[in-house]
Amino acid sequence: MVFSSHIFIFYFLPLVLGVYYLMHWRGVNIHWMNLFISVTSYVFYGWFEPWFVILMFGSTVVDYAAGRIITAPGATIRRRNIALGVSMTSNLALLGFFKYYMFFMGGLNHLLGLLGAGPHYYSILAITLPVGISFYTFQSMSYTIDVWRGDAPPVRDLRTFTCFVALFPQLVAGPIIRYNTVANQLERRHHTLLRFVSGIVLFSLGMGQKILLANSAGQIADSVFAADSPGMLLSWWGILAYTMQIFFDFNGYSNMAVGLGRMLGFEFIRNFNAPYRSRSITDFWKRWHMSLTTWFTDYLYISIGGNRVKSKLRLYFNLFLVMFISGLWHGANLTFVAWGMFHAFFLISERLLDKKPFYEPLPLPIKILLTNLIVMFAWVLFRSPDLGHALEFWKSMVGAREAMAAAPLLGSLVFEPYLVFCLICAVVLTQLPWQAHDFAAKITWPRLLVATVVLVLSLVTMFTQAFNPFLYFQF
Amino acid sequence: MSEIGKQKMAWQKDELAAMHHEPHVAAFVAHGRLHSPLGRWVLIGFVSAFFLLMVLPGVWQIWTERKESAGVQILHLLRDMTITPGERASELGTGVDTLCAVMARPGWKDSGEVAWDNAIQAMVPLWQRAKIVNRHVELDSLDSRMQPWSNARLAFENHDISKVQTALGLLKNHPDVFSGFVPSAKRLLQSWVRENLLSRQYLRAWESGTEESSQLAQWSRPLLQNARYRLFNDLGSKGVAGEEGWTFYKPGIEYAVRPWGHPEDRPLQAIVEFKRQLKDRGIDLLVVVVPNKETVYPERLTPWASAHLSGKVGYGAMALDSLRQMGVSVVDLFSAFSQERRLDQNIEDAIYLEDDTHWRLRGLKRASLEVAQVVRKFAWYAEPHNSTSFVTKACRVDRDGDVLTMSKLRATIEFLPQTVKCEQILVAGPDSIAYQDDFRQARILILGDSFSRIYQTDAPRSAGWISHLAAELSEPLASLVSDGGASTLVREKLARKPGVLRGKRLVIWEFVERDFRYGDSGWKHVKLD
Repeated sequence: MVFSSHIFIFYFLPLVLGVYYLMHWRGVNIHWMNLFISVTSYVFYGWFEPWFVILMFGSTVVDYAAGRIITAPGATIRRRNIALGVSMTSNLALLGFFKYYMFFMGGLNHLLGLLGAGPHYYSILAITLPVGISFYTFQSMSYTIDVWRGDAPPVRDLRTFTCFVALFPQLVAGPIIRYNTVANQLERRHHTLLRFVSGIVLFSLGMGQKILLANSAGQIADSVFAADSPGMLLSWWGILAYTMQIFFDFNGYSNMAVGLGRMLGFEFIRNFNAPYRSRSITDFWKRWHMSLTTWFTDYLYISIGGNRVKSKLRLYFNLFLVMFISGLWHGANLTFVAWGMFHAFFLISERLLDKKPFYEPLPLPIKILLTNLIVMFAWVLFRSPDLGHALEFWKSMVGAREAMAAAPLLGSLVFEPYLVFCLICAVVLTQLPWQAHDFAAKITWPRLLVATVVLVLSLVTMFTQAFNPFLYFQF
Repeated sequence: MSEIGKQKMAWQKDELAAMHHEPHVAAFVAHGRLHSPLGRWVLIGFVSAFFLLMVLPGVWQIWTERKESAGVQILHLLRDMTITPGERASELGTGVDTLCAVMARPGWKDSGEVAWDNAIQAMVPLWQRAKIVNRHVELDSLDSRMQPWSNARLAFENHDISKVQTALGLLKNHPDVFSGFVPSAKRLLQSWVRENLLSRQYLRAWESGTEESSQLAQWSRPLLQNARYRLFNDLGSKGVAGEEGWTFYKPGIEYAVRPWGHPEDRPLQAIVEFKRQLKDRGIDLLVVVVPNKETVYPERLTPWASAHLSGKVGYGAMALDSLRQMGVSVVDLFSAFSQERRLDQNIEDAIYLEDDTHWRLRGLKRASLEVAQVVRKFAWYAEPHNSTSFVTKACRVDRDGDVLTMSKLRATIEFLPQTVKCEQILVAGPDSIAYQDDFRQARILILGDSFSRIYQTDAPRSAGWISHLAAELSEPLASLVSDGGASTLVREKLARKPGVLRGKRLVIWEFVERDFRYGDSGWKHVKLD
């Protein structure tokens, strides 16, 4: 199910909230309320592809059992390690098979083709990627690692653990929640009127970001990226649109997730913090997809030594490795790997300059502009279907590729006044010092009014748009 | 706490310290900072309004559906998952049993044609019932599960008694047929799980149906489109507003700006294959690709395009070159229209209509002239044939532009129709009968799309390019037309009516340029039997 859909807004959400608060009002035990959330979350997830529910439940049971074994009284170190190993292997195998099997087999066939074995040496199964598998496997792994490290208490109740893994507000596209940040909330939640209202406001703003801004920017980006050779001006317009689309799409989803979480009494971590106001790439990664960044920092970067290693070369390698895996996490395509390495290059270069960019002496607005230009160049890799396309697009951006004769016609599609208006609004909103999260932290009359207008406008606009899933669903 | 845990905490402390100069960054770790100066009742009012906004559309929907006795859509889900599979299986089982019983009657075989006709009449509804799984899922005729039903139907139509009996035997054991509880239970359960409970296809179809029938959507969609049109001159997902009131069809523009990739080679292969099939029957093929409006008038779409781009955007001309190299006869309307547009006197005299994707009188006349010139070069053309004289009659017709119709703006805004000059083609003689296709006499068959339909079977009738071509050639023609379906549907139509090709020397295949990518049903291989 998609948040920005008729079925979710008008049927699923009111029904879930209604029953949930009825249970709360009747004083039902929190574990039963967790079970209710789990069941509704499975319905929510099964709506995409019912069979994948079984997969998620299997993964949940394995990690729950691993947690119990790790914390069992008298468990030996060997047994604890085996339990952790089983949990990690099962999660990574699940992710590896569904996400990377086709990529690696395709690559292997290509390689064998080059060696003269024929282009289709191995037949490859066509596998549908389960929605959100990258998110829930990471989330589930965080539990067993935290429990194994002794950083979090184990879950005693399967209903509660199922609720943690399947929690529908953030199930399919994050923010990635670590167990130790919600452990208390799974046992005891504060349902306050103010938190509920703040949740509505954040949900409304997130919906507006997705439907009004991201989808409009996406129309521009899709047209430009599908074009033959758009020319310099339109290439920049297209990548600007994609830069806005991916932010408002993903940030919109995250805001809706946090908002829904608040309505159910949860508090999730903030996933974005004005990333396009970053003054360097290092700064950008402190503001972009923060739940993933901190996940990689805690469970990978620090585990391999982090920045407390003796050799600088090792430090740079650690950074490179994290960004490489981060790129691969986003998708089974060389473009994502290249995107990760592109960022790694700038992160390492800034480490060389004491975490400062080479344009550090310039005024702040110029620093922000230059950082965004680097980010935009990197988004080309992220958006392009293959590296060849990305290279051609870069050539268009720097004027090294002639525009097609039909480029003016493309202009008529991507400079439609409504789309231009939406894109300008999007750009302006990214540069505001306070973002949706800050907006929803203090509830005043004008803010309630803004949220209401945005929600109504988004709902009405939703009816004029075709099915438009969130970009991060594919990851 | 473990060593790694301590290191992690230390690192986080460092990082948070570094973030202190950025209060917004640090804020993400802060919980419980929510505050409001508003009173409790204001917040309660807001939450109530939110709930009403979420709940009322559903209530409105259910109330309306109950009032209209159309059944409550939201309940279809429950019914389709529980009752419908059993009902369908039972109906199919009863139908098959009845057929078997009828055919087992003594003397049935001796009843002749009447008996077969009755059996076929009983078989067809059964076949149709098998296709409909539930309200939202219908099987394709080519679906493997439909194959036994189609085989049985064919056996009945061929009056082949042994095949009919075999087919009915197979149908009795078909997974969708209920024939006794015990043997059917397992099959029914399988069918239920596959088709209903765990079917993504069903869920998508149900969701789509629920959204489409939504009262709120139907009420609010035109209002928003109206507002966007008035504020931004926005024509929605199908149209683009051009210069001086001209409107354009968005997929046509998308076709022009996207690369000519591998999928577009399929049309050329389909055309060459079609030519080969016709050649086997001694019939020539002539391909007429009608340029998109924006290909001929790019400067009317956007001020950034100049008139000298006319005919140079898109891939129509390139496709024609490729077809020529493959030995296919073509008519180049791209060059012809680029020349013709230089003679434009004023906006009312352009080759294309302002708020429509189709041509005006000048466009269709020039097209028929160009096609006639090529037709006359075929060797068989000089052979004796029935000649007919035609005369023209000037008239005018009011047209609602199709771009505005597709944008659905007419629901809330009244647009004046465009008055268009036309020339009707009449058979010369005292009765002045309007031109009509003559499938028996015609040597030329035209396969076409809406460009062949406009003014021809639309008002004022007999004024389209087919009539004008007939007048140019002084002979009657035959035509098969399918709106938007010239790529495949019209050939399928022809395949179903092979008699149409009898006596034909030439097939003229007309389609609009954008169909290279967006033709309905793509460019399938169609076998002419």
